[in-house]
Amino acid sequence: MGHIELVVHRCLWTTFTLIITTFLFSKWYIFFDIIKNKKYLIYLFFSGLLIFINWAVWIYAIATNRIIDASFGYFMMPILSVMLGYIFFKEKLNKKRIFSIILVIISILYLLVVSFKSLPWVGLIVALSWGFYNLIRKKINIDTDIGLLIESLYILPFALIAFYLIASNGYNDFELSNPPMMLFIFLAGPMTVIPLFLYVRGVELCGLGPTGMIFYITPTLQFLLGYFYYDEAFSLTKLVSFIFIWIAVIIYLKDLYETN
Amino acid sequence: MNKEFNKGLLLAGFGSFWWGFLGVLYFKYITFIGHIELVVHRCLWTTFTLIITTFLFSKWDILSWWFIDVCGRHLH
Repeated sequence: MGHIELVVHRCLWTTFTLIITTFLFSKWYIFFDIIKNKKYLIYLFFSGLLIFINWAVWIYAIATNRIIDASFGYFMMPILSVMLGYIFFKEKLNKKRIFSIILVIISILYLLVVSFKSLPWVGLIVALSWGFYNLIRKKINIDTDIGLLIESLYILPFALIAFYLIASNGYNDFELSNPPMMLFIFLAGPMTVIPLFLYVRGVELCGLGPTGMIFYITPTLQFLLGYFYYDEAFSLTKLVSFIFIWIAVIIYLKDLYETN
Repeated sequence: MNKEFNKGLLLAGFGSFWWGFLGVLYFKYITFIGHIELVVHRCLWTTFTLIITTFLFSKWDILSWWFIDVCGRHLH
């Protein structure tokens, strides 16, 4: 995609977004007041930043054959969220949850002490970014997809600038001369949004508890794909740390089952 | 009630399956374009998709009400 064409696209989409928001807000003064009164917008900016980090690191993990490491993060995500809820919202913890948190900490400490090189830092960043993301979203309580839309709009200018830089250096694969590839790359959007919609609808219909248990399908499949399909390396040290995490998950799931 | 619950389980299960299986296969396959470009495209097309879905599900009112609510809190 050429420079001029990209600038045109940028102008088009920015204008498109601004026309919609102007219509929706009806009054310009409200729009400008929002920009002046920053508290909530700052929260969404940071949650946008966190979701960007989460996506970027996850894709980095996939690209560099670290799917198993990423699954480590997904396994500990719900337990980490429980811990953050306790730290920041003073949510109550029962013995089982405390034990799960301790096991997760032991698992990370074990890797730090025994083999620092084996530390799945991509998994840790994925889990931490998602944990803090949920924390912010809990605080501002807004519709999941609408919130993600605002966050995406924050990211959009940076993404466009980055795309411009990539295109201007001739590294882009998103080219008008290759429509099938354009379509295939475009699928990155629906591939992100569709599972979110399905999961959120599931939560609406049967609650956080059961869906919290079902969520573990994700890291399990990631792990299985990484290990069996993509033949990723899995050392004994890592296996030990995963065993700690899996025990923590079993205890957490048992607690979820009992409380739901 | 039970039917709705089962439907919810099914949807959440499919969402999780998508994240853990289809998502991994798709993003792994497409990493040949380079992970930086892929992240950029993921951001771009997710925004685009969300704008479409917000139109489809008529959720712009939620967005506008949320903004007005935020604004109102700060104005008063």
